[in-house]
Amino acid sequence: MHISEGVLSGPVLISGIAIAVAGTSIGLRKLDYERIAQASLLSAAFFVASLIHVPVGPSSIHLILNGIVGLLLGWAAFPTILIALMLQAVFFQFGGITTLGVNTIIMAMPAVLCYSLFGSFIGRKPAVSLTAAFACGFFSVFFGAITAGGALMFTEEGFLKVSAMLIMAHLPVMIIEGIITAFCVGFLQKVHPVMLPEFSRGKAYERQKFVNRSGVVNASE
Amino acid sequence: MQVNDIRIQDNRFPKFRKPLAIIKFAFCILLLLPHTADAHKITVFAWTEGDMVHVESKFSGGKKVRGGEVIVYDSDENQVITGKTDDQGEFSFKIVKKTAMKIVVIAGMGHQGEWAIMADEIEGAKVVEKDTNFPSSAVSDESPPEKTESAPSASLSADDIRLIMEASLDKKLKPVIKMLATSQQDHGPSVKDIFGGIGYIFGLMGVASYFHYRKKK
Repeated sequence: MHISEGVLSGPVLISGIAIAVAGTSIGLRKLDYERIAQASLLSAAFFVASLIHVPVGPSSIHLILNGIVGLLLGWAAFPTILIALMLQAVFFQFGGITTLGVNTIIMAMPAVLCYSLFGSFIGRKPAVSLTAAFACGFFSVFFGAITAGGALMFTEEGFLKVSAMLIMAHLPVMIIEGIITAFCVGFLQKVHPVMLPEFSRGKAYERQKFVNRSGVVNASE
Repeated sequence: MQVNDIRIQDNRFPKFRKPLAIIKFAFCILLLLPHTADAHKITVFAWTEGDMVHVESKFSGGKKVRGGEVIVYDSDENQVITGKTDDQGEFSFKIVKKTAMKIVVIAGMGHQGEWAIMADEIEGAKVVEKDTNFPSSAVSDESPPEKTESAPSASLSADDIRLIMEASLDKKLKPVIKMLATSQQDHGPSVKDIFGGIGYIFGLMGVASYFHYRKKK
């Protein structure tokens, strides 16, 4: 899914950088300090996930893990993925520095989209929760392929053709990512549910209640 | 309100009571890693042999680029030759222009790699071709005029000896060049790279928390 240097045209690269900067600044604003450790862990996981390689047809594809990153971080997926991609470009020569913006969008935007689509289902009944997690892993790669197709359509042959090719090539990865995301969510639900989006929303709600209550206490004092 | 803020912060701390679980989780993901590092950067390697240029391209990890589009540019960025790699990820073409060349291999879906051939590499190749003296030397349209002069001469000049040696060296060195090519191409991300990257990420985390806690004080 990483687009190499020299493939895309200038306008695509520049608009890619602009959107990535916007997304990252939103992400940084939404990333509170207490979640920095979590974001770093996920960034590290994302960074190494690209080394897990699945050979399919003429191309070679790898895990992306943007679904789980998006699900656990929401908008903060943007800076997380940006950093991981930058290090991948420097250390592994995947993608490149000029295509960093476009690659960030390709992987982070679907992550945020899937978070807003499926995040609210996490933490409900186990069947619902796991299905939503699978869908999140699956569709974050799916939407990523479509986004990549959109970026490539100006330089390669036709949006539909490229997107269809990318989706076909990434179908196994979509399924594997879906399973991994479902597994992670199931695991976290048992072991450390505070990391999951439903719980953090509940937490925010509780915090709000706490503020109100202590506010009242304060007033009475 | 100040007091309240501090109490809210305190309320959040239980989140990190289970660092062990986070470490376990990270470890699980690390366990998923296969031992052969592999991914999809494209490497291109090209070398000259006589009047031919051979191009070999692979995804990092050694998988060959089948049916990848090959475009050869000359030093002025003009397209000289286009073609497709075969099932071995290879593509060969005759030198048509005596300039430095840039060979780009496009494997579709945004994957692309390139290799540059220096002008002096080709210089040598051209002259060797002259020396082979085959009747089918109509390959190049710009064959040098000295060719007809040197061909009938019976005695070998120092120049001829040099050319013959170059030709045989080319032949002898072919396996070595191939070996060099494969050793260069199979170089995927190393363990050093992986842990270096992870180190950077945790370093950034440290920087972020440093600024956070400094602000708090």
